[in-house]
This record gives sequence, structure tokens and C-alpha cells, in this order.
Amino acid sequence: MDFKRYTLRVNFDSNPSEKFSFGSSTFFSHSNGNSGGFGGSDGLDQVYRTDPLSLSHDADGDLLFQTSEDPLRFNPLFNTAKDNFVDETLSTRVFPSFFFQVNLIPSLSYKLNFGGDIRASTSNRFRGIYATSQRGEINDVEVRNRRDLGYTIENVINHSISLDKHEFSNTFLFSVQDKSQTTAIMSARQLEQAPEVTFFGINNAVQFPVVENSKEASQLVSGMARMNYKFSNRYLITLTGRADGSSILAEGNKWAFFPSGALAWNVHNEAFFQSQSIFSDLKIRTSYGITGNQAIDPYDSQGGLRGTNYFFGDTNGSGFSTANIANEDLKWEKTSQWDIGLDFSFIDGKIQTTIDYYRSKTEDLLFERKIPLATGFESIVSNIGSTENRGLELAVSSSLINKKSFSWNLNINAAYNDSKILDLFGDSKTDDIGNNLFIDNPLRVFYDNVFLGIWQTDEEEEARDLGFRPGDIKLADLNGDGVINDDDRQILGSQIPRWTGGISSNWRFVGFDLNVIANARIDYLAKNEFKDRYNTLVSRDGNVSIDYWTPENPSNTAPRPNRDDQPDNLRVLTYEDASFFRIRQISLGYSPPTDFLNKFSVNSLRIYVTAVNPFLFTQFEGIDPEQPTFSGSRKLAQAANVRQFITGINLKF
Amino acid sequence: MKILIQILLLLAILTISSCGKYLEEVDPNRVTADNYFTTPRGLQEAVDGTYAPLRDWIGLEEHFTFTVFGTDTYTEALDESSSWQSKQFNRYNSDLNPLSDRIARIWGICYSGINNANTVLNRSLEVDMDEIEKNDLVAQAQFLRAYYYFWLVRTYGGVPIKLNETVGLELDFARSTAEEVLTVIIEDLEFAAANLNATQVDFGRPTSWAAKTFLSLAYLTRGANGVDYQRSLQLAEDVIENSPHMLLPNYADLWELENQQNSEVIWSVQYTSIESDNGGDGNRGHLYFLMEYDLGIYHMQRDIENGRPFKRFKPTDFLLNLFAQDDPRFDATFKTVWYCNSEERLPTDGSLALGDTCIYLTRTPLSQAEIDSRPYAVFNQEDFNLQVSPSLRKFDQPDRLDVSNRNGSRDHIEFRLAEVFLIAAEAAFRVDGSGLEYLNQVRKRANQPDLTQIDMEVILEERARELVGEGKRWFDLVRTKTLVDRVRLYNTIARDNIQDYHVLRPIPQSEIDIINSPNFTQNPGY
Repeated sequence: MDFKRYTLRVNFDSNPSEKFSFGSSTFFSHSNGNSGGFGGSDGLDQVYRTDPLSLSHDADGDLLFQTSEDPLRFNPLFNTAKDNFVDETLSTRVFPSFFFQVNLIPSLSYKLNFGGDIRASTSNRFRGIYATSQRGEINDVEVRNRRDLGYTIENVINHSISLDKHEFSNTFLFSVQDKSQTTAIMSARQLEQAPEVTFFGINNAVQFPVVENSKEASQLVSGMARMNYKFSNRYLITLTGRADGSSILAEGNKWAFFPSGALAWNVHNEAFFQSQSIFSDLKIRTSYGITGNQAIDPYDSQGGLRGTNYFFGDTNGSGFSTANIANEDLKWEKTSQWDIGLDFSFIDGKIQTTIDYYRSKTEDLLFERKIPLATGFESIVSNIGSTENRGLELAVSSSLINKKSFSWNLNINAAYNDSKILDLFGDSKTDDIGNNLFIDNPLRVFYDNVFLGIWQTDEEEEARDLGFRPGDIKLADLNGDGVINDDDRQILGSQIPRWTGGISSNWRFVGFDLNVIANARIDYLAKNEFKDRYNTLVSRDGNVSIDYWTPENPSNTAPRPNRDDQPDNLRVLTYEDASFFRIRQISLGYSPPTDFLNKFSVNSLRIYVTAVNPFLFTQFEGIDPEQPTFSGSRKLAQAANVRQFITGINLKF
Repeated sequence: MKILIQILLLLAILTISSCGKYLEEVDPNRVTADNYFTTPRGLQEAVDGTYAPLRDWIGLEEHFTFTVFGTDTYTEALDESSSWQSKQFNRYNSDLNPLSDRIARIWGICYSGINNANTVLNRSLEVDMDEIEKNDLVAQAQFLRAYYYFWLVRTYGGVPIKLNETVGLELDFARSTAEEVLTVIIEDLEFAAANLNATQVDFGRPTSWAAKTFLSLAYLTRGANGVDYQRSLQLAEDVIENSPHMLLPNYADLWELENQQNSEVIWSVQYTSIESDNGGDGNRGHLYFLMEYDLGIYHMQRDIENGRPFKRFKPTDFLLNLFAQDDPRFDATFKTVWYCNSEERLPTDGSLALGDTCIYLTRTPLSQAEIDSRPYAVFNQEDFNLQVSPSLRKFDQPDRLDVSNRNGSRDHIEFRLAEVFLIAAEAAFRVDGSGLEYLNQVRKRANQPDLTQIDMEVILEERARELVGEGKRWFDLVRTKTLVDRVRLYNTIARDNIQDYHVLRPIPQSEIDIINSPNFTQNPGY
């Protein structure tokens, strides 16, 4: 496993005259990484499933490919050999950017910004016959070439006027953005000459399951006008109007208009304010605006065909069928938000606080909505309804102690958020169970049967009436009809945390500095994907360490394991409270005094040692409470939050 | 200054108004139904696209689980898949519920196939080509649509009937009755029987004879009244007398891998020997019906010829006892002897050599003394258990590349001539109690003496002998309304739990959740 990267940045700025200036900043990077040796998700899967009685080596000390009589268990150590596993990515990226500015008259300037993102990357993937995913059958090679091209062009006009106590400053923007990505994939199987010849002899293989060349492109055009007005540095008004057009949305719905306005009052500049001494700053502000979202995939509004596979004897019978339903109504998702806030500081600016209360409503929410299979399709991306978010945010930054030899800065932020769905498809009463969307509840919730414990031996009769035995998982009969089924499901909790917050504290004592950063998320549920997959309680596989029920060990947390049959309803054990408090970083540094450094012509020096993610406090038993819920094998192959210890030197001379 | 601003404004307006073209979205990766399916070539490809969903479940584990399992002829063996639970289909316990695996999958695949067929029918109206050719293409799509609906109605009962191409969002679906669905199927097949070519250049496309065979079975299944049975008999007789299909003289020849396109096969779902052309693993029937022969105690090891045993299905005693000792179908269907194939696993005392018998499942019971005297493992029928039972050899794939390879190149035979005789026998019996001559034709091929009396019992028994493992039994029992009784008599594991409502599978829970309609309810009992 290795990773190499080379980067270079070239900047230049030029100011040939008072009126003109231009410049460029270009960033190049070239990287080459091979993540082999770990076996990816398949190797890890083998590790977790192998039972402890298996053997990895035989009596002579050679690696065994099959670790037991179980024909599906293979030795993940085989993945560490380069002959068996290669996962390399070579990537070259260039970010050119360029600006040109002309000051037409003192109050009017024009600036042109150009930014680009050009990327060429190749991913080579090889799995030898004895990689665990291949099971000793045939090898598999995949070469993936990707080219990304993107650019943004912005035209900005700034204009400002001052008359007496009135100040205007206005901005006009017109921009164009283009993104495109081309991907070519070839994969082959049964490459006889592997592993000596892999990626560059791919044409010698026997089978070519995938040959694909695809392109995705999208464009965005925007125009914006903003007016700022300040009176006497006390009363401020901002008005903005924005229009955006996106290629991704359906014909006729590509453009949308987004206005916003804000008012603010610098109370601290008022005459009556000067006489008090508690607050050194006070600003009251309120704003209202509409923003938009079009973050779906290109071509979702169109229904295209995709190729199908069939043979008639030896004659090729490949054909086409419709890939997805076109959605000719696909339009912008719009969020309108109202906000009121207070910025103030006291004790001479030593403590600065910001409090905000906001309320936003999102309409035409973009969502991949599941539809009846009877249509012949599984889902369609559409605008499905509206949601509301309300919350409070608080940020405090303070310089508590500031002396020559000791100082302490403390920053705290906290946020509370309450979200709920207002209506679905115009109907504010009907839930959409199939898509897990419930009115008056957050957008993402868990909906399932309720876990009460395990049926114990003394509850045998009661269990039998409901169709269970001692040792089975006990579910609640919510509607009291004497049957446990899907009618006994309810909303178990939200996947979105109600509280989030962070703390950052910085101490300096003589030449030493200590910095601690921590954050927390409170009150939400997450699915323990790891337990979901590896707690099967079937004798064949290795299992998560769990307190399972036996007649002698009447556990109430996990059911009775079986020889060849998974216990029912295991999924209800996987919903857990994922609230956590995590210390993200602790950093300790030392900077020798400047006069000492100057003797060596050094301007500044800092030696430091940093621990990243050292501590996590949570009851969540899965890999990580902040894990995103990907589907498939990706969520398990992510390493648990990595702990790092870094040490380094900052030197300026 | 003013002029400058005016110029800038003008520029802005000009650029914005030319944006329309810039934002136009054209997908370079695909064509659309509108511009492609309305050409003759496109229509052909749309029809070919309608075949593809077949391979998503025919020949895979769920195909067998839903049709062979939980009957009077097959019960469970040792294992179940690690990725989905299937034993409930044999046990009929509370695990067989709307959230069961594969319930939604088969539903979804069938409707996806139905939509493909509907698209063909819809677009064909705009295509400009020779009428006869077009009708043959459209008839193929209707045959396939009937096939998908046939699976749906026999598995789930009355389902929503959808005959239009899906172009926008559709949410309202109501369940039709089983009779209504069968009527749609029959209408599709009548058109197909009249418009399909009598022979097809590509093997695997249905001919008019295939449509007639299918139609005969559909009428038999609907059995609404005497007329249906009459029609079923008529069609079956037509196929028997006038089609080019013939029964193979040797039953075992049906299963020769080189001989898949023989004269008895009327229509089969196609697979090939190149894995990447199968869209998956091909026909996996060779995995599921094998017993665990590859153990050290038997001195055997796993090899390509003997197959990779997934040990899912085990024949019941009832099935094994049905075969007369001289019925060649038994040995063509079941494997009861394994020959030693592993040098290193041979017993150290030299009592066995490569190629000797290593495992023997005997039909006539041997005494304990006899068994002890033999150096290899011997099992009497009373000793058969979850790990030891005759393996099905019909689907063997000795041409796989590797011991663990799951690829199967064998076509799945959906209709063959022998079944037409059996359909004729059943239909004739329903009409007027006759049908013996058809039953006896099938028996004659298997060197069995003629029967003198006919009733549903002997018809079902002959079907059991002839069509082992071919994906028919569960549907046969439900059609003849004998599932629950026969399972209680002959399937020792299923008898405890099976209930009358088990003649239908549950409708997938996800569909019930999404289709919020009072006309769309779950099947009784679930």
C-alpha cells in the first residue's frame, strides 16, 4: 500500500497601472496510489466471517487458500500479495485560474475571473485467481480512464457611491459554469498471462464483460445583482436578486429567480449606546431569502434506453429496453429562509457572541422516489413535497485571558434544529410509507417494529400465542390485534441530530501552546451496519461478540443462535442511538523566543505534536456514529475513524 | 458613464437570451424510445430487449425455490443461501411473509418484462415495415408478456393488469382477478399462435407451436368451464399431431449438453457457454440439487464433473418410490453412485482405487452385514437425510471452467413435447374422463406398461416422474387444487405448517406500502 503525490503551485500578480491588474494562480498535482494489500471490502468481509477454528497456514507453514471445510471461506492474507491484488489510481489534475481587473472610474470596476478544473485519471484494478473475491476461479482486470473538464467564467462589476452619510455599494455578476466527465471502462476476465501482464495486455483475455464509454455534462448560467446601502454606518439594507438556469432540469423549468433582502442595525454606533459600558458591540439583523438546489444527476429528466443481453443459441440477441421514466416536470428545489440574529460583544470585545434564529421552508424537494414495481421501474427523481426547518444557532468566541505570558481563547458553537415534512405531493395528510416519508417528521427516519427484548422461558405461553418461542426476539404488538406483522411498525427516531456543537480551546503559556478541538452530535439514531451484516447468529460464520440467549443464559439483548437458520427480525437490533462527543484534535507546540531565533536568521519556529481523533465518547456500537449511510460494501470497507499522530516543524526565514 | 452602463446592459441581455441553446441537455450515452423504437431495426431490438428479463430469475435459485420446493416431490436439504432465506418456502412458517426475499424481485422482474412488451406493442403502431414480419415481432412480445403474466398470476393470484407503456408517473394500481389476468394471457397467446412463424431462424424465439403449447396450458389453468378444457385439448392435439416436434426415443438424450436444440424442445430460455454473455451466472440448476459428496469421510473431493454441491433440495421418499425399477427415467434423473476421484483421500489400507465406487445410494435395501462388507459408503433409502440423498443430474455442467464456477450454459426447457401429452391427458380427463392414450404415450417412451385407468392421481404421478426439477410441480399442484393435501401426506417437514392460504405467495410489502389504494390488498393469511 503506498501513495505518492507531487504538487506545484505557480502564482503571479501584476499591476501594470492603477487601472489594470491581472494575475494567475495555477495548481498542478500528480498522484499515484496503490491501495492493495488490504483486500478491499471483500478481504475484510472474509476476515469478519471466518470462524476462529479455521487455519491460515498448513503444517508446513504455507498459506492455505481455503481456511476450513466451508467452501466460501478464503484466506484474506492472499490479498496482500501483489500478484493477487492491485488497486492503483494515477491522477493528474490542473486548476488554472486567471483574473483580470480594470478600474474604469474610481467608483466602478470590472473583474473577469476564470477558473478551470482539468483532470485525467486512470484506475487500474486487478484481482488474481487467488484474491478472495475470485474464489480461486478466474482473474479479473478493470481499466478505467476518466477525463474531467470544468470551467467557470465570472464577470463581476462593482460599483460604489458615497454621498454624505449615505453609502451605496453594488455588485453585478454574470457567470457561466460547465462540467463534463468522460469515462471509459474496459474489463476483462481470464487473462492467462496475468500477473506478469495485466493492464497493458488486457486484449489477450478471453472474456470482456464490460466495454463502456460514457459522458456526463451539465451547465449552469447565473446572473445576480446586489445593492448594499448603509446610512451613517448605523442602518444597513441589502437587496439581492439572482437568476440561475441549469441544464439538468426539464425543458421549461431550467430557470428560476431567487431574491433576498436583509436589514441590519449597528446599535453600537448609536449615540445612546455610547453611554453604557456592558456591550462593546451590538448589531441586530434580519434577513429573508430564497435559494435553490439542483443537485441531481444529469439526464435524470430524460428517459433513455439501455442495452440488454440475450442469445438465441449462438446468435447474439442483444437489444434495448427503457432505462427510466422521463420526468418532464423536474424543476428547481427552492428553500425560503427567514433569519433573525444578534451579534454582540462585551468586556471590551473580549467575548463576542452571535445568536441566530432561523426558519426555512423547502419546496419541491428533489428526491429519488420509489414507485410501484408494477410500472416496470423502481424509482424516479422528482420534486416531492415540502419540509420545514427551524433552529437556533449560537457561537461564542472569547479571549478570556490575554496576558504576555499566558492567554486562553475559547470558542463554543452550538446549534439546535427541528425539521419536519409538511406535505407530500401536495397532500398534508398522507404518509408515504414505501419511501419512509412521514408528515410532521424529519426527512430521514427509521420506521420498523419495536424491539422489546427476548422471549424468556417463563413467557413461553404468551410467546406461543403470537407465534414465537423462548429465545426469539420479542416485538411489540402495537395495534393489539394478537399478530405481529408490518402493521406493528412505528417511527423509531430521526436520523438527523437535533443538537450539534463544538468547542475549541487554545492556551498559550510562555512558548508553549495547547489546542483542543471537540465536537458533538446529540439525539439521533443510526443503523449499525456492521452489526447488521455480521451478527447473523448462524453457526457457519464468525459473529459479532454479543450476549446471546440460551436457556442457561437468559439474555435480553440478543436471540438464540441456530445452526443453519438466521433468527427472525434480527434487523431490529441494529438501530442505535448515535449521539457522541468526540475530541477531534489535541495539538501541543513550542515556539522558542524570537530573539533567540534571530541569531540564526530565523523569523519564527514552531515544533508541534498533534493527535487527530484521539477520543470518542459514544454508546454507538457500530464503526463510527458519523458514518454516512452508503449502500453496498463501501460502508464496511471504510476504516473506522482513523487516529493519527503527527509531528512537525513550521519554519519561517 | 451612462452609455457604458447601457452597453453593459445590452451585452448582458444578449448573452442571457442566447443561453437557451447552451442549457439544452442532450444525453450522448443513450437513444430514446421516441427516436429509435419507431424504426424497424429499433423494433427488432425492442423485442430482443423483452427477452432479457427472463434471465434475471429463470435458472437461478429463486426459480427452483418457488416451483420445486415445498411440494410432495421435493423438500429441503441441508443448506440455505447465506444471502437470502429460502427455507420458509418449504416450511410454510411465519417466515413466509410479505417481507420475504425474492417475493418482490420476481414481481419486479415480471413487470419490467411486461413494460418492455407494452413498449413494443405501443411503438409498433408507428413503425413502417412488412406486415407479416411486424406481426411476428409483435407476436413474440405478446408471447413473452403472456409468460410474465403467467408467472405473476400463478404465484401471486390476481395482479394489476397493465397493457400500456409507462411514460409518466403512475401510482394507481388495482388488483384484477386471476380469471381476468388469465384472459389477458389467453388473448395474447391467441394472437401469438396466429401470427408467429411456424419455424424461427433463431432458436429460442417462440414458434406458433410454442404459442399453441403455452395456450393449451393457459386454458387448462384457467379451467373456467368445459369450453376451456375442450380448447386446451384441441390445441394440445394440434401440436402433437401437426407440429414437427417428436419425443426423443431415449429420455436421457434430453439432457445431453451438446443436444440442447433437439426435436422434443418446443421453447427454452437461452443461455450460452461464455459467462460474460449470460448476463450473470447463467443456469445455476447444476448447483442446487446435489448432495454433499465432497467429504473426506467418503474419500471424495470436489471436482468439476461431479459438480459444486449447494445442497438445497432433496427428493422426498414419495418421489423416489414412484419410479419402477426398470424405468430409465430414474437413472437419467438421479445420480446415486459416485466414483472415487481423489488420490490423496483414498483410504490408506488400499481397499479403494481411483475410479472405484466411493458412494452408493441403493434402491433395494441392503442388510447391515452387506453394507459393512463393502469398502465404500452405502446408504439405504431409509438412511437418506439432509446430507445424503440422490442428486439431480439433469442440469449437470461438466464443462465448467473450474471447480467453484457457478456458470451454467444449459438452456432452461420451458415447454417440451412430453408435457403436451400430459396436458392433453389432463384436459381430456376434465372434459370426459378420457385421456389414457396420451398418458400412455409418455409411459411408452419410458418403457413402462400402459395404464388402464385414469384419474388425477395417476396424472399427477406421471407428471412427477417425467418432469422432475423442471419448474412445474408447485404450479401443477396448485392448479389441480391438491397442494395442501399432498404436502401434508408426503413432505415431512412442510406438513406441520402448511395452510390453505399457502396456495398463493404474499404480495411484496413494498408494493402494498407504495400503492395506497383500497383496491390493492394483501393475499389472505399474510
